[in-house]
Amino acid sequence: MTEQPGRLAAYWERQLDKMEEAEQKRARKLPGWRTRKHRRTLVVVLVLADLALVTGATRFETDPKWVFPAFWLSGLVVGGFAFITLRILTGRMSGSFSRLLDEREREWRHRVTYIGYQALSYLMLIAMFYGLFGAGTAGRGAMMLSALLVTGTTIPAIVLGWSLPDDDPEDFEEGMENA
Amino acid sequence: MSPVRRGKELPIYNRLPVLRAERGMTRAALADAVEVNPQTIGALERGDHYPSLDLAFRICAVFDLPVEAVFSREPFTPLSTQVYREGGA
Repeated sequence: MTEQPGRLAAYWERQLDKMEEAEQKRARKLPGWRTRKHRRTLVVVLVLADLALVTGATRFETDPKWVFPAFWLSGLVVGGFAFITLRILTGRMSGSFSRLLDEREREWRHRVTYIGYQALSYLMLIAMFYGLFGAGTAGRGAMMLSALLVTGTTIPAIVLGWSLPDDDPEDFEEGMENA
Repeated sequence: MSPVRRGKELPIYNRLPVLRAERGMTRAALADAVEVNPQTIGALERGDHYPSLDLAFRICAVFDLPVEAVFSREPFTPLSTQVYREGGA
């Protein structure tokens, strides 16, 4: 009974170490893209993909039938690419456990998740009113709810991607001569 | 800038770049010593982030200096000027 928490804690520590290693590798991926300009470009792509999902949701079960899947498929593929790339470029702040973050990163995490939470609340209200008064069918209301839910979950990455400054190459220098 | 709202009239200056350079330390080495990520040391040096008291003490312990030698409310004069012109240290 007394060993179990110790084993669990040791297992958890090992997992955190592995995650830390993975994060350190991820921090060096796509070095040419680690600028505010590139991150903001991806943010714009992601916002457009979110808009495609929302637009597609309004066309659910309407003619022509190809419009909804075209908007959703393109939104999911393009948005998925932009979201994953942004997660890589915004570092551990967007994806890691809080245990792996230091004080500056926790401040950023708190800020963007708070904004994301607030935005998601408003988006869910919009989805509710759309479902009640604008959708016409239950299916369209459900698709709008899904689209706005996906949009809401991307907001922390959008805020981080837009706000973070360029990465400084000196942060990643390993050696230094003592002049 | 730091995402935490602070009074604009109360910045915290630091001597991290010059102290690191004196000791031949990279940001990564200092970050490792105080258990933060290297980007946070960069943010401190650029004035984009102000350290917590805990982090400030940990940084001072690495350089074996008092807090007022590393952090200040006023901009620091160059260390060489302080040593050779003002007869400090």
